[in-house]
Amino acid sequence: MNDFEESLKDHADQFKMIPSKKVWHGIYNDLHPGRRWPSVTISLLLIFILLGVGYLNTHNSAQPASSVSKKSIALNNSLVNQRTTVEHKVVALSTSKETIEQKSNARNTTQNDLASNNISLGTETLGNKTKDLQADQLLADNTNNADNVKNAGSVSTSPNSIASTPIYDFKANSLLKTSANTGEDQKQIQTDLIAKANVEELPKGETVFTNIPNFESTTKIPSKIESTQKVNKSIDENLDNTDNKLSTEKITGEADVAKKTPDVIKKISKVHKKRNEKVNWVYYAAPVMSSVAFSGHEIKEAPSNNFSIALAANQTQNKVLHNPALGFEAGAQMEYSITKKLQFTTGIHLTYSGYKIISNEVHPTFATLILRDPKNGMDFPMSYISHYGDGTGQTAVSLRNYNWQVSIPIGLQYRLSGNDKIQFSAGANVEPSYVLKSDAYVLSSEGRNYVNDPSLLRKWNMSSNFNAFITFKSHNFKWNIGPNVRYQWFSTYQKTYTIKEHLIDYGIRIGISK
Amino acid sequence: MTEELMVQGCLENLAAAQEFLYNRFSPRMLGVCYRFARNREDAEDMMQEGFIKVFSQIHQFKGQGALEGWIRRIIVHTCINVLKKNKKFTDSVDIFHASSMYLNENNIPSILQAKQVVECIRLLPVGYKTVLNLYAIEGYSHKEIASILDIEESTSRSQYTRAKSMLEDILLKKKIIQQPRENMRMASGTR
Repeated sequence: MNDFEESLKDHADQFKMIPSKKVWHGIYNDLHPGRRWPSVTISLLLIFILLGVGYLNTHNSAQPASSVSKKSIALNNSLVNQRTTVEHKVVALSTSKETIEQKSNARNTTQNDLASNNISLGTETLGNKTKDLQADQLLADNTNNADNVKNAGSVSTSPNSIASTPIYDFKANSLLKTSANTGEDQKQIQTDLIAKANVEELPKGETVFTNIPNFESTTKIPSKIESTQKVNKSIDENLDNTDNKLSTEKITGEADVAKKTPDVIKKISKVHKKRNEKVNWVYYAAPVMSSVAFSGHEIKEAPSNNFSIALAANQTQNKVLHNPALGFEAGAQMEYSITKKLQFTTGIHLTYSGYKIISNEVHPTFATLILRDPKNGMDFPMSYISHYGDGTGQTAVSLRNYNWQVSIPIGLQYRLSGNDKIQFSAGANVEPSYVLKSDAYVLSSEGRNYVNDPSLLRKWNMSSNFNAFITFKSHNFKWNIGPNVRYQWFSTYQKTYTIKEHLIDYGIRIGISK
Repeated sequence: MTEELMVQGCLENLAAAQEFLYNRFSPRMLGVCYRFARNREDAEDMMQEGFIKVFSQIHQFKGQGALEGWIRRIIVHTCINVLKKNKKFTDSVDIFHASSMYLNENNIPSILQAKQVVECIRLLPVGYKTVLNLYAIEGYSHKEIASILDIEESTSRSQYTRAKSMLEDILLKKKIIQQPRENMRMASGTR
């Protein structure tokens, strides 16, 4: 091998090229097929999750009858329980009232008897008792005292004896209030009393029980008219207080509640239904055509003498040859009716958008990007190795600038016109977005090469979505179809890169809801 | 990471080791592929195929020679196989085609940096540059080249002579070499 060949070999051996990323990706995917397309797997997973959530929501709202009926049953049970409670209360109140009435009757009778037989009673005991016990108990006790007076002819009564004598034995009226009562007895009593409670209120002081057959007048009671009068006074006061407490209005009010229970159920069901009607979930997808708008100012002055006038002049030609590319949007939107026509909207939104750059392959070469420090406004150069030209060379290649964004749109939707079958609506929202993944090539400052620098890309952004659509029903589903425009407010890049890039997506949004 | 560790990792199919090996040798191997290929894209395809073979046949590497040399031989063979598959090799060994290329000065690109030599080699017709690459740069003998390319050994010699002559002219025109043409003439290889 002569010098020429050796020289040739040396030159050739020194020659190196930096391969593009896709070569390693190709090798990796071939060697590890199980790990292929992780992004596709994640995307599919995300879509399935969205579909699952959608299905569950749709499924829940697709069974309003069963769920509502279950809820209605629960509600009915609750209301029945409430009703039973109300009835119990009514029973208690009725019992109290009847007791009052009986007491009143008994008192009248006793008064007559006392008047004739000089009854002597421990009135102080009765007076103290009224303070401690509830009205009905007190009345019952008082009645009991009266009964004791009647039955035993005993003059003095003590609190203990009152407390230990819970039995009211009006045999003729079958009214028993005792711990020994059976359930059936209680039911019977309750039924009777409910019926009674539903009857018109009784005038104060009017007695229902006109006869007390087993009442036996006492003849052995000492004659103390004054004491008897005191007793009568005390009983009168108690009765008056009790009448106030257990006003018949209350009784009738509660009885009305019991009567109105079915209406309440209906009303609550309506409220429940109305709430359901106010919230609606729409699941949508939209194939979009993504384009881009550039703005911002070029850097006219180089920060140092290293940059030639020609380089600065090229800044003005900082144009990117690009073509729109296909993207898509998908998401779930919750619509909450504020008024009949106006709806608040929110949800979750996934966007894939980007565009194609027309470029050409070049030998790996250095390219410079002039960036600006946003803190002090100073320009500084960054050097990159570039494989891609400005698109004017021979070996054409298409570069893709893209990003995946997930956002939470917040907006309003207004129904412009329509009827029950078809409606025309328009909506707008703002979307704070998080950039999940992105890649972008930017034109170098000299305008001849594309360079790739992920650190220039912004992680958070803000977009707006404008859409108009038709809503119609078909096969138990509501369909929303209409044009959709999405504009990205902030630049794709950080502030250090002075050229601003705003992505614009145009598409047809197709939504479905139950 | 040492070569032994890389090889061991690749034997265990560890992605990290494979990537490390790839990052270490891929720039040079792409340079090799680029000399054989028509363009960068083809070169990357060749290299991708070659590295897949490297990783799938790594168990055949016994550590007796340099790892780079072993990888390089696989890559070169892959390049030749791709060229054979595409039938580009046999179609362009024709001398007249080479002459027309030689006369067309506009086909010589303006190369601003190093690597002029490689770019000049790439200007040669596929047949010429393949033989030139294999003989002068990769160190194969004409016998081996004849075997690899399925041609006569004499054909390989004549191809090499013409390729070298053409390359000299290109290099002179690009002013990469300054010597008079007569002095640059080299006898065909005798390996």
